[in-house]
Amino acid sequence: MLAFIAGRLLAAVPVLLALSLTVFALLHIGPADPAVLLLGENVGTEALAQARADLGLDQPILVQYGRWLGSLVHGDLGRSIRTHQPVGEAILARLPVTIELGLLSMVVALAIGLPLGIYAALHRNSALDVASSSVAVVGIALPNFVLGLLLILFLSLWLGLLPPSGYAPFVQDPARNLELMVMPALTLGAALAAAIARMMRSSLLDVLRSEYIKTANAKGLDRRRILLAHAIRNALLPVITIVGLQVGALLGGAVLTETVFALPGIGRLIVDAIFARDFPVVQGVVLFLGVLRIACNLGVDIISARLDPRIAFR
Amino acid sequence: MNSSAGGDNFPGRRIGRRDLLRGAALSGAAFWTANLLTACQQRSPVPRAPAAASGTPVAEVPKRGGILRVALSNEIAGVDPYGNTSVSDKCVYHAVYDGLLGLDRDLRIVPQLAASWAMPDERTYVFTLRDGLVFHDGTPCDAQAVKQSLDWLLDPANPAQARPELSEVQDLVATDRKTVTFRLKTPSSALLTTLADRAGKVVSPTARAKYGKDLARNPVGTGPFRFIEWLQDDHLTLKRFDDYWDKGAPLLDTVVFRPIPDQSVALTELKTGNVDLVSFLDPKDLAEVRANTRLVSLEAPGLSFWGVLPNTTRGPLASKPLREALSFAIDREAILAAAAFGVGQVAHGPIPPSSWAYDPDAPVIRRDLERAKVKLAEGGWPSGFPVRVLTPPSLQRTAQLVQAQAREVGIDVQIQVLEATALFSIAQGSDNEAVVIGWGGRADPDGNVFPMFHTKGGWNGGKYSSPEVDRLIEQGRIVSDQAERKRIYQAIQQQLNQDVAYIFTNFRPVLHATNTSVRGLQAHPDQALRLQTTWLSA
Repeated sequence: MLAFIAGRLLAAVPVLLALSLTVFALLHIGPADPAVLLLGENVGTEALAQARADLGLDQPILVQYGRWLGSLVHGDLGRSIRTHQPVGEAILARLPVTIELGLLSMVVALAIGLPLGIYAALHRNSALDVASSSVAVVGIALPNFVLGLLLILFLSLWLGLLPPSGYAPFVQDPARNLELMVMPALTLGAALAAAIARMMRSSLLDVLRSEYIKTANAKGLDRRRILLAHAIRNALLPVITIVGLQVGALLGGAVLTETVFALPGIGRLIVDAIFARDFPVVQGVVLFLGVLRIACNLGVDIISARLDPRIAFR
Repeated sequence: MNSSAGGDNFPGRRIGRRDLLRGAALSGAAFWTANLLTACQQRSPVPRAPAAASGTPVAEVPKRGGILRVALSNEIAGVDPYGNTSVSDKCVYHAVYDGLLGLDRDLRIVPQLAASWAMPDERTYVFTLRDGLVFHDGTPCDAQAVKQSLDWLLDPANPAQARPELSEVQDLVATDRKTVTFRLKTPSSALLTTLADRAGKVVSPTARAKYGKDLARNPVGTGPFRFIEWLQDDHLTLKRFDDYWDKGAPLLDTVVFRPIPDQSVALTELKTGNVDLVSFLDPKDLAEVRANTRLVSLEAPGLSFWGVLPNTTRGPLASKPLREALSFAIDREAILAAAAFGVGQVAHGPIPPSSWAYDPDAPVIRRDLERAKVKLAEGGWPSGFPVRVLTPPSLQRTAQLVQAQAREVGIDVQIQVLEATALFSIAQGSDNEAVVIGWGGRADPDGNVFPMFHTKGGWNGGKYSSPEVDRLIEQGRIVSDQAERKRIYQAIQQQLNQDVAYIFTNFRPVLHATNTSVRGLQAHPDQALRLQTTWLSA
C-alpha cells in the first residue's frame, strides 16, 4: 500500500508541473500588467520598467517560471505583489477557514444526502422519493450564492437566529465559530447533498436488484441486516467516488460561499489575487489546490480499497 | 431636484482600486452653490448631529467610547497612503494617517498637522507644524520627519502611486523643527489640495525604516486611530490614539473595519445590528435605506463623472460627426433613471456639483434623433454604423441603455463586457473603439481634466488631443485666482463637449448607510470616512 501511495504521489508531480505552467502562461497572456496595477498609470515608463524589473516580470516567461520553480524547491512561494505578504503565510492564514468550511459542508452533505438517498431507494416512487428527487434537482441547479442569500434573508433577517456573515476562529470561540459556519456549510453542502442523494438512490436500487441480495432474502436473513451489512456497504462505493470528485466543485463553490458570507478563506484570496494580477499568490494557491485535489483523490482510492477488497492497490 | 451625483453602480470593487475611478481628493478650496447645499441638507431624512464644525441642530452631548463597526465594500489591500489604494484602503489610512492639510466637506483646505501655511512667492510654500506632534510609535513628528516622509515619496526609486501628484515639487527643506518649505519647479494652483489628500500624509520615518516594504501591513501615522491588527479579508482593528494632537478627539475607542463584498449581506448586517455603518452604498439600495426608519443615509455629491469615452483616433468614432451622432442619440435622463436608479444628476461635463468650478448653468446635451441622423449623413454613414464598446460588468446596464438608444438611429453598438482589470489595460491601448467608463475624480478640477483629456494625460484612453484644451489645462494649473480658474474649466468643458471628447452621462453621489446611533459623521465628496468627531449614542 505504501508503494501504491508513493507511486501515486510521484505521478502527481508532472500533473502539478503542467498545472502551474498552464496557470503561469494564462496569467501572462492576459492584458493587465501587475506593475501598472501596483503603481498606477501616471508614474511614467521608467518607474514602471523599474517595478517590472524588481518583480522579475521583465524576464522571458520561461525564465520567470524557472525562478519560481527554483524557489519553490526551497519551500518559498514568493511574496504577494500587492501586499508583500509571503504567499505561504497568506495561504496558511486562510487554510483553517476553507478546510473547516469544506469539512462541515461534507458533513452536511452526507448527513442529508445519505439518509435521503437510502429512504428514496427503499420507498421508490413514494411521495418522499419524488419530493427528494425534485429537491435534489433544484439543489444541484440552484447557484449556491443564491441559496446563501436566501438563508441569510430567512435565518438572519427574518428569524434573527444566526449572524449573517463573518468569521471567528474555532480555537478562540468555538460556539461563535459554529454559529457563523452553519449557513455557509448548508449553502456549500446543499448541492453536494443533492448529488449524494441521487447517487445513493440509484446505486442502492442497483444493489437491491442484484443476485446476492435476492439470495440473502431467500435465505431469510433479517431485512435490516441485509440492508446495513450488504446493500448499503456495496452501494456506498460509487457514492464515495462521487464525493471525491466533488471536492473540486466544493473548492469552486467555496469561492462564492466565502464571498457571500465574508469568510477570510482561500477562495477569496485567489479571486482578489486574480483581479489584482497578483501572480505569485495565484500561482501559489493554484498549486496548493492542485495538491489538495490530488490528495483527496488518493484518499478516495484508499477508502474504496478498504471498503471493497476486490479493489487492489496497484 | 437632483442635488447629488448618482450612478448606475457604485465604483466597483476592482474599479475602485484604480486611479481611473478612484474618488481621490486632490484639491480645491471650494464652495457648493448655495442651493445645492440646501437641497442636500433637506434630503437627509433624519435630523442628525453633523460634525461639530457644521453646528448641531439637536442638542446632544457627544459621548466618549464605544466600538464603531464599519462594513467596507471591497477588500483592504494595505494601509499605505502613498501606495495602491482602493476606497476601502482610503477609509483606513485616513483614520491612521493625518496629513499636512485636511479637506472639509465643501472641499475647503483646513489645517491638520500644519497649523498654518504661507506662500512667500508662487514657487514656495511654507508650512508651520503644530507643537508636540507625535506618531503612534512615539517618534516626534517634526519638520525633519515630514521631510523624510515626503522625500521617500518623491524618490523615483521607491514604488509609490502618489508620486506623480507631486510632480511640480522640486524639494523640501526642514527650515527649523516646526517649519517645512516646499520648493516648486513650476507654480501649482492645486498643490494645497494635493497635500490635503494622500500625497500630504506623513508616515513615521522610524516605522518606514523598521518595516520597509511591510509598512502597509504595519502602518504608523499621526492620525486619530492607531493600528492594532489586521486579519486579511476578515477585519482590521484600530484603537483611539490617546496622544492625538486634537485633544478630546477622537471620541470612539475602537474602529473595526470588515470587508463584506456582497452589499445585500452588508445591509443585513446593518439591520441586524452587527455593523453600524455600510460604506459606499450602492445607489440601488438608497431608496430602501431612506425608507427604513432604523437606518440613516449619509449623502454627499461626489467627485466623479460617468459616460462613454470614444476613441478619437481610430475606429468609426474618430470621425467627429459620428461622435456627435452618438451623443445626440443618447438620452441622459433615461440613463440616470434606469442605470443610476435616479440617484444623482445628468452630467454636462467633467466638473461635478461638489466642485467650486461646477457650472450649474451649462446645458446638458439633449437627445435629438433628427440631429443625430443629420450628423450620421455628414459623417458618411446615413443609415448608421457599427461600433465596439467595452464595458466593465459594473457599467453593463449603462452600456445596454446606450445600445438600445443608439439603435434607434441605426448605430449598432456591440457590447463587450470585460472584467475591470483587463478592461483598463485594453482601454488604454489603441485598439478600442469606445469604453463605458467613469473617472473617480479629484477635489481639484485639474484632476478631473488632465488625466483623460490632456494629450499627455496619464489616462487618455480616448487619445484625445486638442492644443486648445492642452493650453487651457496648463493655464488652469498655474493661475491662482479661483474665479479665473473657474472660467478656464468652463472653457475646457465647452471645448470637450464641442469635440465630443467624452459623452458625459451622469454624476454620482457618495452614499453611506448607518444605524440611528451613529453621530457626528457625514459623507464626504472624496469618499473617505472622517471618524475624528464620530460617536455613538446609546
